[in-house]
Amino acid sequence: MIKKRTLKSLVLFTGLLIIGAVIGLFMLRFYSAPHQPPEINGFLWPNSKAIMDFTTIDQNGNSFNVDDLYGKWSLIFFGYTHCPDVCPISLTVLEQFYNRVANKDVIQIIFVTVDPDRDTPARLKEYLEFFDPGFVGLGGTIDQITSLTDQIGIAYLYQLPQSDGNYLVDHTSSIFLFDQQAQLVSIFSAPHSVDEIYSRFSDIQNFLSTNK
Amino acid sequence: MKIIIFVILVLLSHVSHGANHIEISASSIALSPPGSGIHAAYMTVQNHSQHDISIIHIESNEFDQIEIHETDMNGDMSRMQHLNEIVIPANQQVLFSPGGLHLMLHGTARKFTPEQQVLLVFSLSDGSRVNSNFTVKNLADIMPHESLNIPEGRQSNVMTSITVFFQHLLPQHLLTSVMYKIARIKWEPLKNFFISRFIDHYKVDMSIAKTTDAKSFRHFNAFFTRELKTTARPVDLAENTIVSPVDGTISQLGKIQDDVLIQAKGKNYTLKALLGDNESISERFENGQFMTIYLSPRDYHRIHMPINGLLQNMTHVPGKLYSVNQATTDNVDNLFAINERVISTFDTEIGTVALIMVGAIFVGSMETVWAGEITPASQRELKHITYDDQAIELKKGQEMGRFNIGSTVILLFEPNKMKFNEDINVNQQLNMGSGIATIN
Repeated sequence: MIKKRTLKSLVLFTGLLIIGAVIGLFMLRFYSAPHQPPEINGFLWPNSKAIMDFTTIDQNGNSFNVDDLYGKWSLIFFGYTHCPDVCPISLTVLEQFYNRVANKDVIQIIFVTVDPDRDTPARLKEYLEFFDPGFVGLGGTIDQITSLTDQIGIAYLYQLPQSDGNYLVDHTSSIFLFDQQAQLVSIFSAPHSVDEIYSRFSDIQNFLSTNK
Repeated sequence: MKIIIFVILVLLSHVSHGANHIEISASSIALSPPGSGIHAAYMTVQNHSQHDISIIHIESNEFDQIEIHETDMNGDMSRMQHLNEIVIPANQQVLFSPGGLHLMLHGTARKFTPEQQVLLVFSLSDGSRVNSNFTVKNLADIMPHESLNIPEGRQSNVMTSITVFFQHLLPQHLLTSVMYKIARIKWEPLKNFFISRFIDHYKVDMSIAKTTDAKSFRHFNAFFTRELKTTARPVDLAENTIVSPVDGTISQLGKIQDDVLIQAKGKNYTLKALLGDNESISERFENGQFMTIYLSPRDYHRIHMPINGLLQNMTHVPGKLYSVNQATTDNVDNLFAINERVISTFDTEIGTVALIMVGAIFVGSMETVWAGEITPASQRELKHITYDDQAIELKKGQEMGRFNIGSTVILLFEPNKMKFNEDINVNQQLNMGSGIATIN
C-alpha cells in the first residue's frame, strides 16, 4: 500500500520535474526580474583613486598590467601556493562564488603570489587549474609584485626557513574588489563566505551601475 | 627503514590501545592542488580522561613530516604558527578546522584522490599512541557550511547521483534524496517555477517574509526556510509564559498518561518509542504534558525556543530503519515513533523540556543551530550527543532549528510544572512567539 503510493509519487515527481523543466525553458525567455533597490549592508571606498600602472606576469607567461584591470570587475587575493590552509580556503570560496556568477565575462578572479621565487608561472597555472582554469595567476619578480601591492597598501612577511628549507609567508587574507575602472571599491575580510561575497558584490555592482 | 619503524609504531599503538583516552574523529585530509606537496588535515580530538594530554608527535609513512599549525589572524594578516605540541584539556575536545588549527603534512610523492585513506599515528604526552585513518576529501566538503552555504556541497555529478540511487534502495530514502536534490536546484527558471507555483497553491503570505521577492531565493529550500520580518512574530516575553516554537496548527495536546501520548483518535504512542528508547529522558515526562503542532507547507519553517533553556543533549533517531525495542512498541500504533526525528532536551526553570522535530515522509533534513544539518538517510544508527559541558544557552524566541521541508514539532513538559492556556485548543492556529502556556 505504502509502496504503491510512494511509487506513484515518484512517477509524479519525475513527471513534474520534466514538465517543470519544459515550462522553465519557456519562462526563461520572458524572465527579466526587476531588481529591488539594494539594502545598505556594506560600505564603498569613496572616490578611490584608480590604480597606477604595474607590470606582472600571468600564469601563461604574458605580461599583465593595469590595462587588464579595465573593463572587468576584479576580485584579487594575495597568497602563495605553499600555503596550506588560508589560500585553498579562500580560493575554494572564490571558486564557488565564480560558479554562482551568471555573467563571468565581466569578472576576473586574480590570485597574486607573494612568493614569486617558488611560484613560477607554470606552477601558478597548475595550482589555479585545480580551482578554476579561468582564474588569473600573477607573479613575476618581487619588484613587479611590489609595484602592485604597494599601491593597495598590503604587506607580506617571510618567516624564517625551517630545517627542510621550506618557509611560510604571512599575508593578508582579505579579498580586494576593483571596479571596471581599476578603482579599489571594497575589501572583504576573512573569514570569507560565498553568500556574503556574492550579495555584497551584487549590491555594489548594482549600486555603482545605477548611480553613475 | 622509515616504513619498518612506522609499522612497529602502528603495532605498538594497537597494543596500548586499551589505555587510550584520546579519541580522534572527523579526520580528513584536504585534497590540495597538484604540485604543492603540502596538505592540510583536520579533525576533532576528544580527551575522555581526567587529565590534560598533549599531542607531541605525529607520523605517517605517506609523509616526511607532519606539523601542528594554527592560522592566526592579526588584523587581516594571516600568520601560520607552528606549534610544538597541543594540549587537549581533560574532558574536552579540540577542533582542527579550516582557518584555525590544522595539521600540515609535507613531503609526499603520492597523488591523492578523494576517499583514499591515510593512517596517521599520534604520540601522546602520557606515553601512549593513537592511530587514526584520515580520509582524503575535497576542501569544500570539509569547510564549514556557513562559509560555502551549500549543504549540498557534494554537487551532483552523474556518478554520485547514481551511487546515491543504489545506496537508497528503500523507496522512502530514495524519494527523500530526490526531494532533497529538487529542493536545491539553483537553475533559475525551474526553482522560480517551483517557488511561484508553491506560493500560488498554498497561498503563502509573502508580505510577512523578510525577503518578499520570491525570485531572489537561491533555491526552493532557501525559500521554504525563509526568514520572517523581525516585526512579524513578536515574542511574548512575559516571565511566566511559554510560547509557541513554530507557526502551525495544534494537532494534539494534553496530559501524558503514564508514558503514553495520544496521537490521534484511538492511536497512542509511548514516550520511550518516541524518544528512541532513552529511558533516562523519557522517565522525566511520565504524567507530564505534551503538545503536537503540525506545520503546513505554507508555514514559516524555523523553530524557536518556547522558553529560555540550556541545551542538555540531542538525539537523532533515523526513523524507520531504527528498530525500536519490541517491548516498548507492543500494542501501540507508532506512527510518529517510526519517523525520523531529532530530539533536543533543555534544562529550563521548569525542569527538562523536550522539543522533538519529527520529519514527515519526504523530509530532506532537519537542522539545529548548534549542530547544523542533521544528515538524513545515510546515517542509520541512533545518535545521542551530550552538550552538558558546552553551555549552549538559548533564549525564549531564539531560533533553535529549522525543517528543510517538514512537518511536526512535539513539546514535552515535566508533570506539574506548567498549564496550557485555557483558550488553547486542538486545531487552533498558532503563531511563533504567542503564549501557549503558563509556568506554575
